[in-house]
Amino acid sequence: MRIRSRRRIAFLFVASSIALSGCWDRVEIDQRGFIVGVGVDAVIQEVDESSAEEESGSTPSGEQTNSASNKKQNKKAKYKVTYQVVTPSGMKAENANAQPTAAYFHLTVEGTTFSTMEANLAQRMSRAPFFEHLKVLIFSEAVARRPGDFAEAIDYFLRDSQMRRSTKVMVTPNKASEILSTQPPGERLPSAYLELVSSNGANSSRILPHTRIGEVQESLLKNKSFGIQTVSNGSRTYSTLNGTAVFSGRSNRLIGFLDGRETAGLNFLRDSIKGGHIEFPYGDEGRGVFIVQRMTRRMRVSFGKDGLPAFDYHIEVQGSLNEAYQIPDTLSEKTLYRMDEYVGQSIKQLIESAIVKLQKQYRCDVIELADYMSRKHHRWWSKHRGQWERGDDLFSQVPIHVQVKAHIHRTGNINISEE
Amino acid sequence: MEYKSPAEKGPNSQTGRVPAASLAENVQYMKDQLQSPEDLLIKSIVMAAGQKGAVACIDGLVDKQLKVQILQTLMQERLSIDSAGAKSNEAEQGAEEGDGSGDGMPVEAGKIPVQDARYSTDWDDILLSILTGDTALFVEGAKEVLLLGSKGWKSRAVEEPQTETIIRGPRDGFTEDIRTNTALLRRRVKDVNLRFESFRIGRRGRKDVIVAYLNGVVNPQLVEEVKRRITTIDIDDPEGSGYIEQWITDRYWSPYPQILNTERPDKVAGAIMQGKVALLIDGTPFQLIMPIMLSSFIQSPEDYYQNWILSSVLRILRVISAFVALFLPGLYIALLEYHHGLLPSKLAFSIAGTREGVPFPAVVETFLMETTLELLREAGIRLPKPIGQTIGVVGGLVIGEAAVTAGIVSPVMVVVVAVTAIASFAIPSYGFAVSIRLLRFGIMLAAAIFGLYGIVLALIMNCIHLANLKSFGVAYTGPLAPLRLGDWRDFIIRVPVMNMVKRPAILETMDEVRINTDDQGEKNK
Repeated sequence: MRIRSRRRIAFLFVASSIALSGCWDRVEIDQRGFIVGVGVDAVIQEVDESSAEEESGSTPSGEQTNSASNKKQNKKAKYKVTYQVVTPSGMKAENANAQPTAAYFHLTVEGTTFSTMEANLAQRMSRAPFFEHLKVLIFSEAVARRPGDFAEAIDYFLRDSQMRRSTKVMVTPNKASEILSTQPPGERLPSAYLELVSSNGANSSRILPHTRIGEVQESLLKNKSFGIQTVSNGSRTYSTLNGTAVFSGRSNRLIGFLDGRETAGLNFLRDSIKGGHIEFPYGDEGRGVFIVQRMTRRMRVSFGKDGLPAFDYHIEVQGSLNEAYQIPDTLSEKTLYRMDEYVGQSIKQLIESAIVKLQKQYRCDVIELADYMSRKHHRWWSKHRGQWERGDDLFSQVPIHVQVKAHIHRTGNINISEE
Repeated sequence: MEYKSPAEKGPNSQTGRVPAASLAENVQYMKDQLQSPEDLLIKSIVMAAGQKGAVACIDGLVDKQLKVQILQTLMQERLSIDSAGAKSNEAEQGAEEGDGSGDGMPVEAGKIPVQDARYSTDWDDILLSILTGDTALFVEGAKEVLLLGSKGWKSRAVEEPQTETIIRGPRDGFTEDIRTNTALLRRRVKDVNLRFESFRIGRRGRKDVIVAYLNGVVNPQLVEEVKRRITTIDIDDPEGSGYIEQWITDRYWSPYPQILNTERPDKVAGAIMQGKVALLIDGTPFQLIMPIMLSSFIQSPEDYYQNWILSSVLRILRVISAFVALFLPGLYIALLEYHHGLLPSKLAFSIAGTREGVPFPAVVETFLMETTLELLREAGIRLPKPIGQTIGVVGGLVIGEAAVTAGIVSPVMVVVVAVTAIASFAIPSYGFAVSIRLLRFGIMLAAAIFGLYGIVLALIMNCIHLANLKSFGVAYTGPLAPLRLGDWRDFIIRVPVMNMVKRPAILETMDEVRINTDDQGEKNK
């Protein structure tokens, strides 16, 4: 008897644990509102209201702007967030005759906290917002520049359990919603498009390696300066990924941009060049284009009399000649050496322009010298940690010497195109 | 032939009943016992010596030619039975009876041109012999009956096995006739140590069962255990090998088969050579091999006929296919109901897109389609052969396609179901494939309730069960769980034949070495 009743109780335990806890978070995949891109803009009072109204009617992709939120809320609102939601039926490969439906639509919500905005979103969508497939997070310059706002905004995208640390972060000097509306022909989702472009570093030296949100948090925690990819020129057909948004470790906010050339220089310094081209002059008239294929970077630190470290960069670049104008026989040894020389100079110029801007103008150590010092010269670093970017501002004073050697390994299929 | 029988006497047993001296009385008794059916042939004869006699047999069970020969011999001059011959015979056979009044059989067994002839004075024995195809000779005045082996009936020719077809390898398969089967086995194992031990099982069915093993190789304890389990079978009629398999299996609650059944003589021969025991059962082409491990199900005899690299790759493929057949629908449910973030983005969107308009949740969809597939399979078996295959292939495609067009299921579901079905067909053992089909539904249920967590739970439960399973004392999880690294040479990877020097250590065979290593070869010289 006793055994039997015990068995009965055991069975009840098992059955109830299954019945009570099973299926609790079951959601059908077609009931998810996949959000693939989020654009965060700053709210500009009053002016924004009317423009938003216009937008909602005119955009063909079914962009809907939240104009329903009342003015009281609007006054307090800090962010205007555009969510890119996938329309799965538009993602299906359809037969040629059918009118292609849009693969996404936009919802714009204003508010101060992201969770409230997400709740607002849920009130308007038939499918609950789902962030696990979030690809890109775009901040407008205004949000990134306001002190405290950037870190505050990024907190939600790190803290929520649906968020992934691999989401790419970008900064735009334009409006984030415009960037999100880019839809080149052939691409169904702007966010997927942006994600693909962001990893095109192998084809262009002007693209910073993509920044994951997890890496951004690491930098924020370490109070160190960092760069984020910049996306600009938001239009219907394309956006340009070019340049770097420099975030200062002192204030954790955006402090300025590096343009494409300076970004290339930064990439050389950080050993993150995967490819790309270098235009170089040849003599007075000639010009050529050098394609980077491989680079090696060696750096060395020497301490001067004043105890300041001086950095020596030895950069060796190998690549091929892809274009030549008014350059004599590219196969002759003399020309080759001269070209190597010119390429080296051009690269050095790129690098130095980046160094000057970072050291003198922004005073932000995006080059990651701080990391190097903390790893290789930890004793020195632990003494001067507080003086690097703040206080004495050592970073802006340390000498950085750059030596570049370029080798053209291949000059292409021809040696001269015209006599 | 001597039989060891657990049910020594059938339920019809007339214990101690002995044939009478009178021919008429005996014939009458026999007719009464069998209710003189149409196929009972009794021919009264007058033998060359003038003695009266009768020959009884069952029509259809005896070799007609042999029977004519027997009759000829009995009725011809050559077998003139002088009283002296009869006397001497009497002296030999009926010594105990002692009265010498002609109770013994006057016909000498050695003079009848049949291979197998013996005397009997037990009615049970006589009747059973007649029913198994022997011819009984009654002679007036003799209490003894001469039983002449004249078995010969219509049996299916040796054909290619239906359930286990392979590309390269012998094409003969077992038949329903146990004699043919033992012959097939003998032709492969020409070792003097090959032992066939016969049992007769079933109180009414009287099925012949032969325990086959290689003496000197096999672990004697294993043979004893197999024989012990066989003698426990006490049933009216163990039809087919299934009855015996289920009766002697270690854990009949388990969904996993712990005895391998096969139609292939080469598989049985290989197993015997390895040191396993085989059961040959009359009346079925499916013979049993024991003990087995989980790995036996992904191994096919073809593995040994082919290049070892190819075999190894194919085995890995089969392992994968077993996992796919077991887990794919469950994973589909888990990923579509719970873990949408685990799918690659594009796949997630496209699945979400194709599922738009599908009225059922993924769980219902999956159960619906899997059940339909099982239905198709079951129907395919019942249908006549040419139609069956068409139904199997076309039915699946047509129903799947129609269901997608009708919007009942999503196209991805059809892919999942089809891949699962194909994967389960890639498993060489039908019995194991059936177990996996069964367990698949359990996994699907677990996935429906708890998602991936449920699948993991189900997997753990399975592993615990498997680790506990034993097949005739041998751990079911093969050389994996009691780790026998030496046996890994023929596990998932099959090493080149020259490197498979030893028999599986897990079987604890008496003779461990399969291949003479060099120094042993020297010794032999």
